[in-house]
Amino acid sequence: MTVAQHRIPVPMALAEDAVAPAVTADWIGRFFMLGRVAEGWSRSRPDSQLVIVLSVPVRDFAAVLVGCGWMSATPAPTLAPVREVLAGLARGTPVRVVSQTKVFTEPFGGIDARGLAQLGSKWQVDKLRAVVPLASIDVPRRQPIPEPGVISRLAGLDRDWAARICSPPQDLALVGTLTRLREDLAGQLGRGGGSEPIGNILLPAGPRVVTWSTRVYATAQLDEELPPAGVRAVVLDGAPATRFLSAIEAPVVVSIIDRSIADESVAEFVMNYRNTRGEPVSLARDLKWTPPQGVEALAFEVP
Amino acid sequence: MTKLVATAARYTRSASLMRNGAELDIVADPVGSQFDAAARRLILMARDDSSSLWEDVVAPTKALRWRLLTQPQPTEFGASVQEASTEVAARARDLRAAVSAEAQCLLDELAAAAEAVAASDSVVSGVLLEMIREATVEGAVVIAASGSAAAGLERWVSPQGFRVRTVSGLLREQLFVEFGYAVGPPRFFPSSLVTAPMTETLNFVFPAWYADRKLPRSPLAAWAEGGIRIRGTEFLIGDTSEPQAASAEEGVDEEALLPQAAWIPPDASPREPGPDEVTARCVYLSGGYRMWLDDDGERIRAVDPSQPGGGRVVNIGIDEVRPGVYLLLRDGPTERRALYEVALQLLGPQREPVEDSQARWKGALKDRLERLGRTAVLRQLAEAGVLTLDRVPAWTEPLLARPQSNQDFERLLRWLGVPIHPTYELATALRSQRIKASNKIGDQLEAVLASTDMSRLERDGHLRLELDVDGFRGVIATRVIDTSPYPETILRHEARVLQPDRSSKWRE
Repeated sequence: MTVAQHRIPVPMALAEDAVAPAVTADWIGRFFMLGRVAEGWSRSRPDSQLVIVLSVPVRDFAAVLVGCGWMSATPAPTLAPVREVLAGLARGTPVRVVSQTKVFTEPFGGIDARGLAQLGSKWQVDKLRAVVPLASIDVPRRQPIPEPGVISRLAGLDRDWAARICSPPQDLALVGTLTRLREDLAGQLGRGGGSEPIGNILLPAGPRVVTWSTRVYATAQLDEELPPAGVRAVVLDGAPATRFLSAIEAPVVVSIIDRSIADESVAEFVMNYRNTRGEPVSLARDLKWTPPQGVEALAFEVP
Repeated sequence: MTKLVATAARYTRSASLMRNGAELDIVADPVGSQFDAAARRLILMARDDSSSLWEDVVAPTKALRWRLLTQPQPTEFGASVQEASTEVAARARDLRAAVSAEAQCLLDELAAAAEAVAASDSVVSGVLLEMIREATVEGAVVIAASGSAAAGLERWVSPQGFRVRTVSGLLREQLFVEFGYAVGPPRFFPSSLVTAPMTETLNFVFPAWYADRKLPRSPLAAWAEGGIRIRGTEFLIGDTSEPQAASAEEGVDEEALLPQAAWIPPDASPREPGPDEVTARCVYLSGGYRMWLDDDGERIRAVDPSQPGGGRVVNIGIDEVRPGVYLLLRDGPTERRALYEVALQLLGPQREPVEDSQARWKGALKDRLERLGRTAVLRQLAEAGVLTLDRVPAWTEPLLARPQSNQDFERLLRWLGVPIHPTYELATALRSQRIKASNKIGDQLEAVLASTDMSRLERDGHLRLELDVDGFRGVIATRVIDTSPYPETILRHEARVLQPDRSSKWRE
């Protein structure tokens, strides 16, 4: 699946929640597309880091929109057939399972004489759509499977939906003020009348979630803990998060600078980083992406 | 307006101001112009004289000039121009006896011009009033350059129904208005007023004698794709046939005329700090304070009054401490000392092993620094693979838990010959308790600030906050008035301690 084949035309729309009215604007689709092109770029240039700095009139929604675009371009996980996975598992291994209606976590209790899998209750193996072993689970949890919405269908994510829900790509991290990011994550992204919860596209990690995709960090947390090696894209939402730019090793870093509150020092910091470490990249020429009106964008590659 | 609609409006307004530009309404003001000319000559004369003789008259002169530009309301609505005018005239007369005949002549002119600007209402006020009256009460907002300027302008136009806000007030209240009238030249406002506007149109109203008419721009504009550049269209109002703006050959640029201090470069660069010393810059703060700000690699707490409650406390880097930023500082011992104490308490039974272990590696480092000298230590650490060499002297500081980088810490311990385990884990435990303590204070400050009137903070420049946490009762939120560009070497324990200093009175 390449970006070109699944180019999603603007305009897209946003709503604050499932019942709020939708707002259609050019910047919504552009930020989404930026996430998609960045994902494609990073796979074609695995040995360097791409840094994109966006200066926006106000920070709201920009980080999650870029994140949604990124996630929409990630390849589906390749999972072995359920029977094969279960056959290779030791009893007691924690697993995440997708059935026809639910996604849940349980320790695997083996397969009994009648061929039923012990996963909390007994399951016919051919009723299970996907299984992956996990490192650990605290308590078994379950939740209904989210349905692929308009954006997931448009991006072709629905084709491997069970595998995606069972073993989502865990390669994106958002860093910023938690309360604000959570508000943004509660929004709905849509197009042509339909809409889909942003949370279903990004599957944010959290203490009680059954399956998750996107790590969400409070800026101050980075003092103690940086995103792990498997994270391929980090969105730094705001000037304080952007200060960690040089510490982030992910192949793609997108920094969102809110012009209404950032002072000049963060811009100087970014320019200094680019001048000492980076090689300029043209978004228009190299990534074929142009910023929406009211947005300044700057990209560079760190070898 | 919902958050999303407001967000969309910000993009539209930003794009529209980029398309249409802002309007500069430049008002002929012969009376103000005379004072400005005298002020410029005064600055030149003071600059050529290295004695501090002139400071008493220079500071109120700059303040008066700034107030004329930002608070043009008729005299009956505010005394700030009068107050500065009286001070200028009085200090000029005091100084008369001590200076040459030529300087006496200038001081007389200055005193007369200062009194003249206070004696009649500013012509700018009439122009501004006419403009806002053309708009509707609901459709217009008067934008003030500072909290104190807002207070004066408000007394004047709010009885007529018009609103006055600072730029941060507009953001805080999410006040979307059609027409914005900024009182003062563009450079007196944060760049966000034009680069991330809350209004559909924007006018700057100021007297013609103010020479610098450039619009602030986004610092990324020059390098970014889609760079935000706002065009300004000038309209001259009144009789501008006489030359109004001071020309460049008069030799004083606008920077030197702002109320901030004129910093005198030290004779030599600061000496290398000794074991108990650091290099720091002097920061003048609102409310009559100053402090020494050192770069110990840690961020400092600040308030962003433009934010709604719940998001006002921010941690900023030392290089972000600039005029206009509001710092949160403990009254009494510094925050880092208090945090260190709290972190030790939180460690419980681990406290003693942590203290011993920290003393051991820090002692070993200090010992090497003393024995081998800083240069040799840095060279050897570089060979050992330590990257953050500029931080090495700070690592001896007892209040600093450990180097930020895991790798550097391990390499340092190996080089010192100190057992990596459990030294590493104990230092990390201290750091983690410190972060916990710091977050708790941050939450408390956030809660107190959420119910604090931010326009009061902006008007007065400083505010005392009472917290309900052990060791953290009094915290002062105070605006940075000025920071020295010249670092100096000071004793470590003097860093970041609030000290009273009255010399900043006329700089606010």
